[in-house]
Amino acid sequence: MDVYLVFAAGVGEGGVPQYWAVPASQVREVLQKPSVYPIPRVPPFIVGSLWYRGQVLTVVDMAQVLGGQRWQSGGNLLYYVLVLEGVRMPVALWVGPWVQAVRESEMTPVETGHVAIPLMGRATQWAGGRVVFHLDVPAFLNWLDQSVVAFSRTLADYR
Amino acid sequence: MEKKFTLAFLLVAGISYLVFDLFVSRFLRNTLPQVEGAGPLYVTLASLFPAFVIVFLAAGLGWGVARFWLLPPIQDLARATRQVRDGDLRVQIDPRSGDEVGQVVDSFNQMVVELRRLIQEIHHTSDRLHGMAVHLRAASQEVSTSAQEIANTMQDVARGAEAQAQRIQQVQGLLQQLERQTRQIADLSQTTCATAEASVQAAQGGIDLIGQLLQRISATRESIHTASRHVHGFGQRALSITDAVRHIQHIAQQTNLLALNATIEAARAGEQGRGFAVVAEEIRKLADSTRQLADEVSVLANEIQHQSQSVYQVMEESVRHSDESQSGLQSSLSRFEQIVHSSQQTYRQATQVVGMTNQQLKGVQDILEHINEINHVAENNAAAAEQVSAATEEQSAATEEHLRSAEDMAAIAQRLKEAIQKFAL
Repeated sequence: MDVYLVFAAGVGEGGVPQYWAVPASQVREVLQKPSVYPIPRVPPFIVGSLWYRGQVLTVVDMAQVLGGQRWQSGGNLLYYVLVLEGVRMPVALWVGPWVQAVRESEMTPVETGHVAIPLMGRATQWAGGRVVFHLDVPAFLNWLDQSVVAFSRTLADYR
Repeated sequence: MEKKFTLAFLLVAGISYLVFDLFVSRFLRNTLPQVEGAGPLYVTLASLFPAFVIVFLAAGLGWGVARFWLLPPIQDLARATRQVRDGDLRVQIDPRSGDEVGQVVDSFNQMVVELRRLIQEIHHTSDRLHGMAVHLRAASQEVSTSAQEIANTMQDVARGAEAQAQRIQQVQGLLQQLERQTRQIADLSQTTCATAEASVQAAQGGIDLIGQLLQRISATRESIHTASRHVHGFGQRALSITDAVRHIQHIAQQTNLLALNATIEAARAGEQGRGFAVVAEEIRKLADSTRQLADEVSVLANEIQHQSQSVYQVMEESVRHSDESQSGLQSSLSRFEQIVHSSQQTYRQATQVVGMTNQQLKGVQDILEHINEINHVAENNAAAAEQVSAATEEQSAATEEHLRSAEDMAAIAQRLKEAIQKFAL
């Protein structure tokens, strides 16, 4: 029985939430309002760093990565961070204030046609017509790794 | 004189008798019968001739006697008479003798003296008469002028009296109007008294009602204030419920997070974690239901708290309104007390106005009666002034007559003086 974690990464045009899903088996843990420390001179999709069980994780803003608009953040605004298994070390995904576990049986496939969205594996429909885009986790990790490496080189060259 | 004429007459008669008897008669008797054919006329003439001679002689004798004996005193008298005729009253004649002619001369002299004295007296009297006439004329002129002025003045007085009578009639009309208005004022003042008394009673009733209303509002204010405190406490309890619900929501979130991680762990465990996944799912549903209930309770608690706050504000507003109403009623009470005071004062003043108006009405009626009497007197005065004016006119005419008489008398006196002045005294 496959279970997915559906989250609202950000809001699209008209303030409509954009729902994305990752397999629960590839998620190590869900954190609620962890302390995130900003990092200077990093790309805009990196929110900051996170101390997680003896490791320092990079927190990635999924709204920035997936082309949506970030949720308005505030002092008491609830947000979740998904700790995803990475290539060399886990990656923390800033996914906004809403996360829910959904079974595969609760979703029906949706035909997207020739529309191609980066990092999207497939699309399904769930809970009354909500369209959920499934994150292509390997592609995302690869893109993130390449982006971080390129940024590290740029940062090294800068130094 | 009588003796002289008698003696002359006897002389002439005797001589004439002797002459006639001795010569004429004898001659005639001897002569005439000898003349043949002599007629009666010849006889008559022959008979009268001696008589003529005798008469001529007697007349000559009489003329001589009169010319040298009788005529001088008479000539003196005639001359003196002519002088008197010419106005010379100073003449006096020598009587020359004590006979009748002398007596006539004496009488003439005395007459002239008396006439001179009389003329002198007439002269003095005419002077006085002229002076009196002049004075009388001047006085008559003054009297005429005065009478004219009096006539003019009396005409003015008559016109003034008539105008006065008209004005008095106007004043009488005005006073009658004033009497009606004063009576109306008295009636209105009486009505004002009754109205003021009714106002006092109504305001006193209003004061009583406001007092009762103040007590009720005070009781209502206390009740609302007590209820407000209870509602405020109820809102505070609702806040406590909100805090408790917030804790429940936090627990639900934590439970949901725990369920999510349990689901993840079950998924990562594969087939071994299937049962755990079911438990995690139930826990997630339970957390979700708890969160929904907590949200509903939170909403209800917020609504209760907001509504309690609204009710509290409304009650506090009601308390403020009650305070304002009490203040307003206190002000109204003061106003009503002022109204009572003012109405009582108005009642007293209106009562005084009624009394004064009645006195004024009585005074106006008295004045009206006096004015009626004055009107009657003024009408009589006007009629009397008309009569006096007419009498003055008549007096003026009579004075004019007196003036003309005085002028005539002055002219007569003047003419008398002029007539007397030709006498030499």
